[in-house]
Amino acid sequence: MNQAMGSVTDEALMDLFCQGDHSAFEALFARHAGRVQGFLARMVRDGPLAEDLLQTTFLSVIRARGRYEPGTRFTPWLLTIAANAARDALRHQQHVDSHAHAPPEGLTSVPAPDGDPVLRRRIEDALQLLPLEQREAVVLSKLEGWSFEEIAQLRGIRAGAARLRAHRGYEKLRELLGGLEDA
Amino acid sequence: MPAPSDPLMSSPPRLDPGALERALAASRAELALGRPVRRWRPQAVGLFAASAGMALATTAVFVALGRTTGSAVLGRAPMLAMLLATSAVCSWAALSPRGQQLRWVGVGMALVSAALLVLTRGAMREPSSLPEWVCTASHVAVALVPVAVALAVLRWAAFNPLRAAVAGLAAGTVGAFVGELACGLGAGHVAAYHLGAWALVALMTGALSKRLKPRTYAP
Repeated sequence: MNQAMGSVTDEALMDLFCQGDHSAFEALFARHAGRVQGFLARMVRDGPLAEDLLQTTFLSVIRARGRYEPGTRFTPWLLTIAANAARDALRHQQHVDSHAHAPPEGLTSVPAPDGDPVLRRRIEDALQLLPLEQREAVVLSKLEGWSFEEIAQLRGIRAGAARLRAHRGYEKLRELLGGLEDA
Repeated sequence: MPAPSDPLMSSPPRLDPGALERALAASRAELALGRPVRRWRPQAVGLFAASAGMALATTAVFVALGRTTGSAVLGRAPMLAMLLATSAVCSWAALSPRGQQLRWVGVGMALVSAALLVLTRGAMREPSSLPEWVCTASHVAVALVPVAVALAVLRWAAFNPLRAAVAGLAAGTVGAFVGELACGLGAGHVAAYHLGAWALVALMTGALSKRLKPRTYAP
């Protein structure tokens, strides 16, 4: 079934799913789950939370398929759901952390990937130190390839404001990673 | 030296390899429940119907009890139609996935309606023996059903403060509608006690919506 759907666009698959074809959902899951997982892992840097959010994202796709408008590009729609879920979870986590007076535990709960684990971990730790809006703008623009217009649409802000958030995020990352350039 | 973000772009952080399978299993379990698809247009119509239906039902009760007359209702028809139109636009804008600009149109219509409510009221039409806050309490009370509907349908999308406030404006039109028919006090009273209640309903809807866990995070 998924092979037969290999050449079908995401948008056509979503239309099929909205009409009741569950195999179309499975094809969309197979195509995008890995990307969503990576996006969420970068956003929250907490393995169990990222897994919860991955489930939440696809459950949202199922429950909110009545909100999907034909003609909407599927990937930005899907990542908007993931970004909304991550933002809500992080805000809740910050609220809990502020009441517990304890530092977040998420910084080291995701295993380091292949490659240079020390460098990678420092960058990912630095990313987690960015304010949520800046982190989201950096991840979406730099890693997911979104335009600033798309980020602006996601958050209901102007493209210039989205660009500014990303720019400030890059600046903060440079400050935090200053030691890397000296090494 | 590579740019700081290059290692990030090479591959995402590793997660438990079983995570994808568990997410797919959860999705299949959700699909197996066979729940009906919730479409946003019927939800928007439902929100408008709750607000307009409550307004019309209250009007019918007022006419039946002799608190107002059919001719008085017809005399206020343009203002009442404006309030219903505001409710319709705000309901549609609040639930529409791509209604960002329409939401501001709804806010604008609510502001115009509010200004017209005050400007067309003029001087006191008749004295009242009741304290003025009774109007505010009544305004909020008749909006409770539409607010409950608004909160229920807002849970099917990610929280957005403007979306929630506009849904609250839609729900609050019922109080403005009823106040236009039942209250004979002057423009100052309308501005303070009626419009204040309308704003309170909008803010209350936003605050409650923010506290409720959404069923989906869709735009």
